[in-house]
Amino acid sequence: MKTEQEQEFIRRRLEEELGDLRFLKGAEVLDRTHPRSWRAKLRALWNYELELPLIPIGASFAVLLAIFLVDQLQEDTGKGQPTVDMSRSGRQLVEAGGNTYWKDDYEKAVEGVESKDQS
Amino acid sequence: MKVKIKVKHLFALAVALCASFVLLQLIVMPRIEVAMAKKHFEQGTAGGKNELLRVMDTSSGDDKWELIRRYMIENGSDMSLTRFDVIAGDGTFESSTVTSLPDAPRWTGEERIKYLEAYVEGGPADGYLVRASKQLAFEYLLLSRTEDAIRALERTEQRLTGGYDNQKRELKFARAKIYADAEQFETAERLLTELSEKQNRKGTYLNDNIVKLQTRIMEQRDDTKSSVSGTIKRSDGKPMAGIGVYLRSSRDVYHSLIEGEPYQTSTDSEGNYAFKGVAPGSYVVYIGLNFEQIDGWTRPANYNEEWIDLRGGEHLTRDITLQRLIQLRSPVDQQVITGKTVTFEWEPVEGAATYTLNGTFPVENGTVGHQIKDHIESNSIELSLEELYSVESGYSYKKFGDKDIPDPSNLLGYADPSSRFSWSVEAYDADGKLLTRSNGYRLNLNEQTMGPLPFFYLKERTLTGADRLLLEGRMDEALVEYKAAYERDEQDEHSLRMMVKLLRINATDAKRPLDAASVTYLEKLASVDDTGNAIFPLIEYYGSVEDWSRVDRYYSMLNKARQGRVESYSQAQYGKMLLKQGRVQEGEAQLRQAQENDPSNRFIGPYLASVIYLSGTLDTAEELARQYPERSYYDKDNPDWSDLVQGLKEENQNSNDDSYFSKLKEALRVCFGGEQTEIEDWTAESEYLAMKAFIKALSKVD
Repeated sequence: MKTEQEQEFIRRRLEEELGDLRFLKGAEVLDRTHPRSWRAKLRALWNYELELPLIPIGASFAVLLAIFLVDQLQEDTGKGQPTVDMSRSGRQLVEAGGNTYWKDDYEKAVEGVESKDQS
Repeated sequence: MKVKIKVKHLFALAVALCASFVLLQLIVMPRIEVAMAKKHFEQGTAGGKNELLRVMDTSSGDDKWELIRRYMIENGSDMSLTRFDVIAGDGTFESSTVTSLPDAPRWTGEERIKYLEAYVEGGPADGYLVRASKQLAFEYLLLSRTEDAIRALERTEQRLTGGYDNQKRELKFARAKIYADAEQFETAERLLTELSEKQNRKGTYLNDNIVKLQTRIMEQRDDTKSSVSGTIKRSDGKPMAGIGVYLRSSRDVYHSLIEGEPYQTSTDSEGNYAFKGVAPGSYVVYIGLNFEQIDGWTRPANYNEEWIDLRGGEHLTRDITLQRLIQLRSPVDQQVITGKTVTFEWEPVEGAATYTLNGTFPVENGTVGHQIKDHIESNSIELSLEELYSVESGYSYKKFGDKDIPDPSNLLGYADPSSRFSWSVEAYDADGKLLTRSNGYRLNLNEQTMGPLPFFYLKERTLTGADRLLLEGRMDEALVEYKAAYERDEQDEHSLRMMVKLLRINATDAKRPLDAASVTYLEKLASVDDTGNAIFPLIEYYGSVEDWSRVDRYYSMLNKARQGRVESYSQAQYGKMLLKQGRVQEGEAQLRQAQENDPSNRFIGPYLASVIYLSGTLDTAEELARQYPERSYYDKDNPDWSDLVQGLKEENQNSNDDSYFSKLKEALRVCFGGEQTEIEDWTAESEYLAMKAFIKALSKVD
């Protein structure tokens, strides 16, 4: 801590050296630090610096995103389900025992009779 | 961890996020949806078709046209009547699997019409528009909406501007074709005249087609030409509307149906079809059906029994009635049979006089089919396993190491306890006409058509040491072992049968006749096997060594075993042996019967020869040759006996040689004898060309 004398000394030096200078924007500075008009208040808010906790915010975003995606996915799989066209789509034919079957039907039937035999 | 941010920057971030979300929903999501729908459709995923229809509905402009182009127009065939799932001929069923997207679900006619109509109205005017309108016209034609079909083609023609002259001509030609099919000949001819007046290039595909269609119209209008028409329905009375009908000539039936074949049409809403102006020739009607139409049903037709012979001026009717498949009752669903007999039972068929029971043996890449028994008079039959063990079948080859040998399991047949057999049945009316069968398309599409599985196992016997050697591909060792087993126990019919099979295979493979020792075993087998299946090889053997009394004896044995219904091939061979002995009268009787029972008419040649030899005239033979042309699917060079007899007749008339007929008889005698050198000597000396041609064809019949 400097002594009061030293402070007084420096103040005088400053006054001497800055004696020729005039500070004109005092009002503006005051306006910024203590805004009175709505414009000034808005600008203050606009430039207000927030300090945000990264982890909770990131986590909540992740949760929201997940919910959104799951929702989309459900919507997709839900679509068309009641009108499933299983008669044809992606099925292969197989010839067995002189007949022509859908391969999946045939394999299921063979599996069925084989499991019945074993039981 | 904290982050410092100014309010204005936070705001900008929020705005950016919102904007990207909107962007996602409006632009990216629809694109993903389209991509997903495309993928699902192409892979045939459940619901993929509806997804694609939805994106087609929601998209607009170029995107929409692109989708219709890619998934309907490119995949469809233009005006093609050949794109049905199943093409059913005379006992043949061919399932098509042609599409550039094999797993993609199929469009219904209704769906195609909706989107193609939109495309024809609004799609870009280019080559695809031409295809779209042709395909749309085809869909309309299947529904008998001829007017709409014409309108669609006309509309497209108007929409196309300069630079598409050829396409416009194609469309005009398509219209002419529709008018010709609808018998509006004046309009069709007017269009064709317009087209040929403005021909810009010579020799193009279209110009050829114009000429062909003009000829066809001329033939169609010509009342002296033949026509074939009929109705196609199901036995429950439902008319088969919108199915393909093809009148296929004997030159075409040996290959798959192609678009270039001339007589193709589809049935109207009542199931009627008609072909007019048909050129003379032999034809078979084939039909094209979708799986939904054939599922659980069959077209009762047998190979070579559906021929239509047209000579000009005939107006024939050929109706086709699809019949329900017969349901099998037992043994089914892989039932294991361990007893000494097996009872086959199936649902009775109304109007059936007899049934034929068929079976299959599994082989490496498929099955080998065979007949188990025919002329069964009720809807069930109990067969002893011995009867099944003695069933004869063809055999397929299997690789063992680097050698191909007959599939051992196939050789064992019903005697292989590990084989899974299948069976099927055919029903015939009193005239021997096929009514329906049990095997066909069982796809559960409209109703439950699948039924029980036609499989069963026979596990009454266990494999012998020789069987095991055979199954390991050690044929020679197996033969030695069978022989030893038979010598140990002369009651061992299985070893005897297997031994005979292997000996016959060895002889065939070495291209030599059976030796005397093998024949002894064959005779032993024939004496214990009641089915008569072992007899024909003996007849062949004794025929080859000209031991005629034994041939006669074995033939009468065969006749007895078959209850007077010997297979036409065996009967014809016996008939030829009789001719060889100079017993022409008896030979003619056998050949006549064989000829009657054989729809392919493959023995018509020797039969005609015996008729000519006996009757001393050519008139009867001429009529017979005309009535029974020899059928052949693959060999297009099969003899035209009608022409050959005609040739003889003309040669006889022109020769002014009283001895012509006795010379012909002498030539026939030489040919009956079957000595190749004698036939060649005769040919070298003879001066009669038609006679030579006849003898040459006759000597080639086997």
